[in-house]
Amino acid sequence: MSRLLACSWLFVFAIHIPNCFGFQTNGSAHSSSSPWEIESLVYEPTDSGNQPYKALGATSCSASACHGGPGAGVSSPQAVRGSEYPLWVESDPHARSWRTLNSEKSVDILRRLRILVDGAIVNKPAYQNCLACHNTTKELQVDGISPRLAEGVGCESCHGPSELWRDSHYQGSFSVSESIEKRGLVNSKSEIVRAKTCTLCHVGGPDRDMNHDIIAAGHPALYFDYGTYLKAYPKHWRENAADPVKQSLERWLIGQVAKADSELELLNSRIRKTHPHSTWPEFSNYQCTSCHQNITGKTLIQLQDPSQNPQRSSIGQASVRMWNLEGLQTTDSLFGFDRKSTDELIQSLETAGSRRGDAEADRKPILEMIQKKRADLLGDPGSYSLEDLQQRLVHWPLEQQRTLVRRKWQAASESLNWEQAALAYLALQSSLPAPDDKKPLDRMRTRLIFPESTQSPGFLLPNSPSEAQAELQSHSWKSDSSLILESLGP
Amino acid sequence: MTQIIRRHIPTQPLLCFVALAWTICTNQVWGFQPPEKPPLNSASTRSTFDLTCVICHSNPQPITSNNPIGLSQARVYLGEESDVATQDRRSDIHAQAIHKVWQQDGHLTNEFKIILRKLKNQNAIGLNHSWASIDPEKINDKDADPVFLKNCLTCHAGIQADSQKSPMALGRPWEEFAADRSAVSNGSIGCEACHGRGSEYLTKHLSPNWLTKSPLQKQAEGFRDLENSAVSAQVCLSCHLGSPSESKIITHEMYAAGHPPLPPFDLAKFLDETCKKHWIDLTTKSASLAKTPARPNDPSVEYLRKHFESPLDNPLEKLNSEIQGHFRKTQQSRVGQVMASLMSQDLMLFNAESQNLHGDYGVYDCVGCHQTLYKQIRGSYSIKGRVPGRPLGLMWTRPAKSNLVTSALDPLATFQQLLDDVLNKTPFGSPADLQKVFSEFAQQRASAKDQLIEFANKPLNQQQADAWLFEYLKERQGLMGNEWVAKQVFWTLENYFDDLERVTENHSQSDSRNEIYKSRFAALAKTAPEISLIVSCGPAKLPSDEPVDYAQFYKHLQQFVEELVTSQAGSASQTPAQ
Repeated sequence: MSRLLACSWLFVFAIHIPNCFGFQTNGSAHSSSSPWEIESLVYEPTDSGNQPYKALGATSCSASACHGGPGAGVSSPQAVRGSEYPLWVESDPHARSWRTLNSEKSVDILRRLRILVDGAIVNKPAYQNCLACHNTTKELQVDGISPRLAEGVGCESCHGPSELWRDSHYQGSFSVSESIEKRGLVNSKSEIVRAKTCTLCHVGGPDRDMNHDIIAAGHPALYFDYGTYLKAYPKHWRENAADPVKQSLERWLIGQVAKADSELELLNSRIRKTHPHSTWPEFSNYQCTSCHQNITGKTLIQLQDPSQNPQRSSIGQASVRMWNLEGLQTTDSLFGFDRKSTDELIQSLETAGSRRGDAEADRKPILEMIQKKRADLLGDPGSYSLEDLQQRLVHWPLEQQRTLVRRKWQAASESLNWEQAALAYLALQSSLPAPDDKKPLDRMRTRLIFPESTQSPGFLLPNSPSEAQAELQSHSWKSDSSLILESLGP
Repeated sequence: MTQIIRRHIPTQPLLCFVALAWTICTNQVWGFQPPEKPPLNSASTRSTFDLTCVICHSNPQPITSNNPIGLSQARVYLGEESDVATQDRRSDIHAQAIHKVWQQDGHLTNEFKIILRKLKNQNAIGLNHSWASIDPEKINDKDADPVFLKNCLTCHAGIQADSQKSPMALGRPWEEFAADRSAVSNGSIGCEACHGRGSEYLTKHLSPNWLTKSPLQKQAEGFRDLENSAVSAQVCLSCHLGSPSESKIITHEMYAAGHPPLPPFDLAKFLDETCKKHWIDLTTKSASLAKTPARPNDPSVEYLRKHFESPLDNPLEKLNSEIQGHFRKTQQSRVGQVMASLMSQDLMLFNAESQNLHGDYGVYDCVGCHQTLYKQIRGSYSIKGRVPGRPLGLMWTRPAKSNLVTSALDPLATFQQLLDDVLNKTPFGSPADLQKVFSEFAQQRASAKDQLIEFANKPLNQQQADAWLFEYLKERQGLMGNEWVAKQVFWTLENYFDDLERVTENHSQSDSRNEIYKSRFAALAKTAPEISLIVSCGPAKLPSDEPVDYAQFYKHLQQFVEELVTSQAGSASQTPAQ
């Protein structure tokens, strides 16, 4: 009986959620507009794995007296907002992620990956891999009755499952630190914790792996940059930074550390094969443009050929994707970590990719190197302290950070590597004190094929290639580069 | 000079010269007039290039359509005689291949040096030794590094990788090549690189019953009978695709260092569009022979029979008429495709067995990965059961079921399916799993090539050709997103329509449906991008500076194929197979 009830609940949500977020519960509606048979999505919950606490769903935060109110408004800038839920529902892209997973495109992806066959989910672990990032929980039905967790990336995705603190967190006796430690609350005030929360999905983690199979099936590749994403993010909190440039630079650094750590975690789980759907060596650990370059003609992106990179020791091998691991090199030069071990790790990953070695002998040394680099970043495994790291980053002099960005930019502007140049562009953008003439920066962006709609790079052609080409032809990468460096100051 | 001759004819000098004299003086075999000048003169004034062969085959007697089996092959090959069809006086592109490696002074070309310099510091993934010993600055035509010899000269100069171990191998030993100055200046891929080592078969080659031997018999004696399409496909593909047993391998590293990609191979296209043909095809030979009055027990008629399976009591006229109705190019194209499948599997096995080779991307389809991330995707294809984004072997060499022409080849479809599964399963293409699949099919694979050689002598009439083309296109029609598959389908269609035109002209038959598709295909062919041309003389010439819309062309080709398949299915249902 309860199973039947659950089925009809789920049915309602699958139909209603894409259209509105009202979460109505008059569950008699039946429709065939759903992309697949809804029964197939219902399965018995498994062990909750890494989530020892239960999530209760975004609606449980949405009472008008709690986080579903009209908001404190600009007149009382110090007040807690109170309008987080409506803001999330209306403007936060995370609220759309369940809809995205149910869209025609996603269903096609699920079919190509044979997760969905003849309207039924036939590969549950792989489907849960999708849910891990597209929904608050990996189980659509947690307690056998309530289906309300098909909500997209809700409050508890980032703030932690609220089972043990929802009913107490507004009371005077509530201890934040104790809840963080013991009850699953996430310390989202800490910048590094927040960044790690983002990278858990936007890079990947021990229980979620967005790999090349999924990209080839149609999912966009992940190009996360904490600072730029946060700038564009509709915030449901207030920010009062004394120095916005300093804050933006800090975020650039913190984002790098978070990305690197998540990538190392992901690598670790790929090599250990903790997911049934992970592969090793994994193509998405390598630069897309290493392989995806045209062999018969010139392409619009002239910066894409990694084999032109003078640092490369080998040809015809895929270059390691540094998008997320860049933080290792940055922290090596900032904090004097062992640079050699970073180089060794990158070299071993490159060799593994070209030899596609799967033997124990190929994997073990890489795992050891990963362990070492994580210890560099965050201290001994037993006492990882993100807060300590944040303190180190925040107290690092601004001028030194600028110098680092400048050096990075100079190196990148001389190389022909797309990824290096794009990363340098993002670093530059985070550290530039709003230049009067943004044109050189815009041109850089066009060269790197960043679509206008988002700050993260993609591989789309610009809308008007001829115009872009003409604009680019009248300015060289070098001359624009020196203009930007000038605006960075001495 | 005498020394050179001795080296070339080490064991049977007397026998050879007797046979030679007999051949020249009587010229019984094909009934031609003796040459005007003694052939040795022309050979000595020019070169010692594949000397043994040149003694006879540089006869000034030209090859013409009236005189199809002349003895001037070496002269045509080297550009001293004009080509039969095109009157082109340049040499065969294979004779020039050496200039890609060496300059006239015997030192490496800059182009080659750059590639070798890049390779020098590599891990040599794909090979069982390293590139480190190579010194591009020191290599010359007298002093080639063994690594360079094994990996470059096997194809670029027709050198045997290991002459001691494989006397039957194609090509000649390095020492012989290096001692021969003229090899460098006059020609590289010599007669023996394609026809086999002369010292093995010379005596037998000169005997009167040589023409009546079957291609397989000749192969056992060390000679490659290139009239047989399976044999010629195997010989061409040994370089144009790769042949691990002859150390003719190209790895991804070599491509990345600058070696151009090897395009798909179509036997009929490659043979017919070679700019300097030193041979006459079977159809022309037969027509020419039919014009002359037949002599009793004429070995040349027997030759035709050996290369075109036909009842022994078939009179020459009937035999010739059958040969004229034979879809030669279509059959060549088909046989070449099967051989390519078999040989690409050899490469895959070599990859799996080689300790340092596993991981070489050279055995996979280039466009599988080398598609840009723009909207225009040129490598997309779908194979049943495949997870997107995982490697597959070469798409253009995938066996089509319709091509599995003899019972020995039947299991290859299952075999391919198992290979696909291993490549699709992580870790992609695990060597152990690949080896397991190969060992299961070792027996079938061992006999497959010989079976194909026997099959290649079979005639293909219009009805059979139509039926095959229909099945073949049905199998390939979903794969036109792959540039190379599309290219091969286009070539196959070209061959088919060429045959159709020739055969229907001869037989003055006409079929309205065929006529429609023939003219529609001709219109489509006019829009084909330059990559569909085989340019064997000099560099490819772009038809225009405008960028070619490949995707558009392949789309049209796809439409054409679909319509042809549908119309054929329609006509087949109206007139059931007889």
